[in-house]
Amino acid sequence: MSATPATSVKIVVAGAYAAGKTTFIRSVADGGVVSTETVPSDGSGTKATTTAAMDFGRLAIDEGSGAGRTELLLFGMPGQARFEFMWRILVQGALGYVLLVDASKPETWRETVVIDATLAMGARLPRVVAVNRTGPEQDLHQIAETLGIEPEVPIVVCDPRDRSSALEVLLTLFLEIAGREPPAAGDGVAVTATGGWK
Amino acid sequence: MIDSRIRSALGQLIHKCGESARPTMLVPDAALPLRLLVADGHLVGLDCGSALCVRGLAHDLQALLVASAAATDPAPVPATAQLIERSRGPMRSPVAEAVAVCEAAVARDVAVPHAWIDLHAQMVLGPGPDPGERIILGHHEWRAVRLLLLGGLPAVAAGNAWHLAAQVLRSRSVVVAGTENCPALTRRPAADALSAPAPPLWPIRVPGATLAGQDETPVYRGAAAVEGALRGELAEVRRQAATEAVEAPSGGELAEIRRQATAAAVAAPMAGQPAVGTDVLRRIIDRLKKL
Repeated sequence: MSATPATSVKIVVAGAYAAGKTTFIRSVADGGVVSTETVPSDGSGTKATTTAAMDFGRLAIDEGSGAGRTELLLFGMPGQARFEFMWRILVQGALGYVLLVDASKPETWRETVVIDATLAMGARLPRVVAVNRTGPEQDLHQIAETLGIEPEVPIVVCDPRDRSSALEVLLTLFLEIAGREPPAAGDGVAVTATGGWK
Repeated sequence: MIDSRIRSALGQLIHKCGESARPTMLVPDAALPLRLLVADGHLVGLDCGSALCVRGLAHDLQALLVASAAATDPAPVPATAQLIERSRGPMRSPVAEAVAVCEAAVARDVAVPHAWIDLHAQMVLGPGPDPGERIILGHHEWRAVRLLLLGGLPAVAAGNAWHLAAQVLRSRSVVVAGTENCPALTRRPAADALSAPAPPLWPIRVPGATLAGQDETPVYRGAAAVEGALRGELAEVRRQAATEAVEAPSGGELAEIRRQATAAAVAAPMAGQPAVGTDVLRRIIDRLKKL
């Protein structure tokens, strides 16, 4: 780990229980996912420490050093409404959120709606809706409408097990964020001009 | 300010724990079981034992870990050999490793940190559910191992004291699972349920763990008994999961849920979005497009 602080951009991965948040973070993060490391159980005992399992991972954006280095920090957010106090902790400093929706389990949509309404209206964060486990007959926009999500919010299919799919979700989110960011003074280049995804 | 009735209800509960012949148990009202989970000397969780509570508890504990690690490195986990302060011989299984730590915890006041518990729960039960797996069972199995490792302090609340106790615990920043959806806690017990046998109990003491100053007497059944209890617990939670069903909401219900959540969110806004330069956003977008 570098002693020089990097520019860390925090993203929250939200969704109801078992929507695929942990899998999403595992797919995207590049080595910083704590749940992938284990203590050897073979008796060798050579590794003194390892890391605990939780929904947290890093994704390096560039390999620069010092203040030029940028990384994404991905935080999985517990789903149940009683964790609202925890949501407040986790969204502090977040730039946006991914809302994972399990299309195959409508019974989880109550939690999904509470999370989305709280983050969208309480924190005013940009978001992307990523729909997991879609069936061939399912219409994303119908799902969004049922969930009460505004038509302008991007909604995409996502297989959290597939890294490229999860990365596309993040790209969609950052294009959404960039679209809401006012241009910095002296910066004449609109960030959205670098888009072109899909 | 804590309502005096609530304080009294929790006080009675704790008092009953202390009066019990086996100090880590409260003679049960079997229809309303209450489990208090202790780790690192702190009361960290509470659940009624139902599937919904258990599922919530697994998330509770994970949420605490996430919060404790927010924007920092993940918490380090001591290796088992380091934890039990001896050269560890080959372990025949992760369960055996967990049992060895429990033995050390009871015998030599070894503190077992959350991080070790979480990690070894995963080692015993796998890395957790992936899409398509039997997710609820996975989390239930986590429960069994958590109870094994955390040293469940089984107790039972009488009457409606559970809700009141939960409020007190929340006021102390203790995460309490289950109160929203818990079927066991939102209805009065059926008469025949009152005569049902008490659930299996694992009064394994975690050194340093106290309940309102009580110094529990360690009661440890040994590795074989613990593993036997684990198997029994797993069978029970599988049975529970198989019998529970959750209904899908209607569109109207979701609209009402969103309306209420939106009103609550607007009334209590969260921290605002930080400012990030367009150059940073551009680098991120460009990188994501290339990955």
